Amino acid sequence: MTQTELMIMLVKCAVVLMGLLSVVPIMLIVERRGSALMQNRLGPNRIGPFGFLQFTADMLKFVFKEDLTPAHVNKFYYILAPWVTLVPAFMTFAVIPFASSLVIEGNSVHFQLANLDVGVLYCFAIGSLGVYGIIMAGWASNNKYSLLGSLRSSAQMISYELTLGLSILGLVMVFQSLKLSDITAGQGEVLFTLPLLNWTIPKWGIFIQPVGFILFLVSVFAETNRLPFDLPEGESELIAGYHLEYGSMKFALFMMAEFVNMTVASALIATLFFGGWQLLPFFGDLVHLLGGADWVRVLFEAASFLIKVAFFMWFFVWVRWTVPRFRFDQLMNLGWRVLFPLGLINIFVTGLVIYKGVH
Amino acid sequence: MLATRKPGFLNRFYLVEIIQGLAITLRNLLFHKKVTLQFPEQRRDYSPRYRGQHYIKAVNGVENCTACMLCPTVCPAECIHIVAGEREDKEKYPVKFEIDVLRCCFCGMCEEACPKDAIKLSNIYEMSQEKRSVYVKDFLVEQRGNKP
Amino acid sequence: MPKCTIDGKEIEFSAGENLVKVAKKGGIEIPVFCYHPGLSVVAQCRMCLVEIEKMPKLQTACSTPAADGMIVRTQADSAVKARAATMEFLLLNHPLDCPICDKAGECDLQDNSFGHGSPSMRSTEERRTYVDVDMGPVIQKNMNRCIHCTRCIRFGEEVAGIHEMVAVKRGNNLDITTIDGKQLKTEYAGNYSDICPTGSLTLKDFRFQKRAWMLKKTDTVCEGCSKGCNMEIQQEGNKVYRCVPRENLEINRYWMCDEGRFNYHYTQDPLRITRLKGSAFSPTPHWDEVGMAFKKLANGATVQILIGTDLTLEEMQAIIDFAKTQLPEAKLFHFGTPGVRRTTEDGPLDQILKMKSKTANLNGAELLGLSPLETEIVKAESVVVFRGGRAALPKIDSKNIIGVGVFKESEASGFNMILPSLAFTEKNGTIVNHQGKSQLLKRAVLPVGQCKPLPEILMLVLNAKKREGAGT
Repeated sequence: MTQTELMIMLVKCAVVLMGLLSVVPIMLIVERRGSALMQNRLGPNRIGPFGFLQFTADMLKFVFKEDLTPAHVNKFYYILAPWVTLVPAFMTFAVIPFASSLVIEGNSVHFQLANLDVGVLYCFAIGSLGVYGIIMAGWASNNKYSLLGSLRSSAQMISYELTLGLSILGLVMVFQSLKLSDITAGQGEVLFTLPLLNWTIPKWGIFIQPVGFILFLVSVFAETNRLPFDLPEGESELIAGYHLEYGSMKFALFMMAEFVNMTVASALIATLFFGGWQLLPFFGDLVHLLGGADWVRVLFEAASFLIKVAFFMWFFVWVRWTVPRFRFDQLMNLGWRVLFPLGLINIFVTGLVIYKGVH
Repeated sequence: MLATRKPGFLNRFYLVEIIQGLAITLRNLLFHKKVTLQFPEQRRDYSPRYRGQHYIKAVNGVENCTACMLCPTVCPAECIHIVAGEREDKEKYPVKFEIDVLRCCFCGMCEEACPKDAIKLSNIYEMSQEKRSVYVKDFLVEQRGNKP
Repeated sequence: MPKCTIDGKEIEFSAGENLVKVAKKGGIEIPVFCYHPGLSVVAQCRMCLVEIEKMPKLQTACSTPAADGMIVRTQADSAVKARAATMEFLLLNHPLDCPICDKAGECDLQDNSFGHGSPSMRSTEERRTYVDVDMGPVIQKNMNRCIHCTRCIRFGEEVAGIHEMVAVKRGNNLDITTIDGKQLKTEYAGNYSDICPTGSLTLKDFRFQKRAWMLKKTDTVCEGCSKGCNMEIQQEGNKVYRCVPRENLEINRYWMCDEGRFNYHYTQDPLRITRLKGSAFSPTPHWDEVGMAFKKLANGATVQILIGTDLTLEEMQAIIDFAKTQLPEAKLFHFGTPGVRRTTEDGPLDQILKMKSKTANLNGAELLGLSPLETEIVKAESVVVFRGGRAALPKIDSKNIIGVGVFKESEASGFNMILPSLAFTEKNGTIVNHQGKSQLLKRAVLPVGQCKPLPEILMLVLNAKKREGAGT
């Protein structure tokens, strides 16, 4: 690896890390004001224009709160748990491509931290590590509510990871690759053109795997512990579940992990089903208008990706304040008796279609 | 009787319902009037009968109160403490007039009992303090009231 | 016994009783202003008008003696109307200053106005006003409130023995005042305030102190002299605000002297010693130290125990018993008023109530067999003084003086040890007056400071001695 390559790598790492970290304050204000507006309230609107600087107050509060460790907890795991939750959340993003490539000083730069051959599997593998943090937190807190929360979390994760995996298989079968870069690139092709309007429909995952998309979306909600599947927290019945005994920065770490998880989940949805960095409609024309230089194209690709991710982040918030929490038995019913069989049927049908040679 | 509803096949996925729900929240977000009252700038108008912070009515800097002790007599919370004295012009007046607001239940009976129209409960409802304290006379005779 | 009928009720009476008294026996209240059972009858307020059968006009109940078979109707239409008219007339000039009037709450005018008057007023005239004369240190005058009942004038003449109040001018301009505007001389001036049916004459001592309805009342006996006047202590929040006489026709009738009325002040004097004090104690004295210190001090070759005749019988007996077992060599004497050592030397000081002995229980001390202190100066190695607060301390020439009871800072300067005990407002007990009547003192307020009941103090000393005895 040359020095330039190393530099490029470091810059990429820094950009991704900073990007993910900056998501947290933005989501804080989006979540708070979004929920408020949906409930006909105003929400925090005092700090900064329209309350956009509310996160500074929130963060200052977290930082300055007394960081106490309850006497009855298992100290080692209690302190370790938030980090175990946070770090995998960041790691998952490594395989997600957020733009195509660019040639800088003879080096081809891919806008992706690691182009793994098993990208999709890596995502799931690392993503499921996060549950260890939650289980550790619940166990170390030495509190029945925390423990119940973490137990629910593990049961929920196991149930929905199956569906998550199955929902992707159809897509993998279509694109014949586990590499996320290949899948993204594959979605650039045209599926078909609408005859009358002359609209081209790209080969995005949502158009070739609509059922897979719905299954993936639902499972991802469960994986990130967001409403309507936030049973591990369950304020109304478990007080706050696994992070009941956590305060100040330790709690903030859990919250960061949740937001980063949301970001990664949104990025995955965008990458797998909405063409990743593939340009949004009309963006291609814009690139042409601006001269069609490579860096302009990359910029618009990144913007497309960002817009897609942002929409799904908003979607997460939107759903959270719309749908009430599931009951645990309903959650299990849905997971095992509806989503899981549907995933199997989806793979079967996809296989049939591919076998028949329809593209 | 237990109401039972047989959801159709599609409804069992909840998808349609969820989309309807999302539409509702989006409508609320975009179009509905927000009900929040922005407190320090906007204030609710209270009825003139509202019973808030106490004050003693004073005319030309001399309080109306003659320390007749009817308010401490009628006070159900026993929060008014008066020590009577004689002014230079031989009039009876309260040397000490203290209201222990922490005990006060804002029933307004003192206001009703007062024969001199002296003690009043104003419309002021912001009474938070940093310290536990009682309202002393100097504080009470400040005319912060809005009652006729 | 003759009987008469008032409001359909047959009531027995003895000859000569007036209708107000008879009605009261039957539980019927006839409103009065000028009438007072202790004073002569003048029938000038016209408030007690009642209808009597076979009499052409309404009669004043206070001046009409009951007769056998008399039929009286207090609620007859004409009587009710007449009383309402009287009330209206009396209130013509009465200012509406009840909120600042000390009489409010115990005011006859208020009560009768509420019971018999009208809620509204027809008069639109200006009320008359006066500039008030200074009536001396006891009574505050407010002529505006006066309704001319002349009770005060009659009291001065008939009870206090000094004709010092008069009514000058006539009609609307009538002024009740002292002769030549002088200050009151009588030593019974407090009674003016008691008998005044309005707030025209009030106590300066009680002025603006408390409203009458807030005071809690305790029936007790005055300890000012050997007369033993019945009185009522009125207190609020453990503070005595005033004492007023109670009716007892055998002792004090309705009256009380100023000395007894204001006697309670010493119990609330800031100079009263209410904490353990003396050279025998550590800087922060505690009752635990008392036993040892007492024993050390009361250990001289000659011990004298002086018992004030202002203590109750119970306390005196406790001291006698204590001395018998603990200080068998000690000599016990009682002391009280200089010059009045025995009941035979006691006697009335004036023609009204006051007695020569300024302590209440001289008779009681004699009944318990205590001998009086004959010498002017007490000489002994150890002296223990028990005192209720009023007995005049004799001169004591001793190195070891223990004071138990109520003392002032100035009185007890030479004392080695002072154990604060209860004053008469703080304790229950029995006292015997000059007539030999035993009466009850009742506790009105709780003890202040470190004060303890006298028997308890004696028990503390006793037990400390016992404990030591067991140790050695």
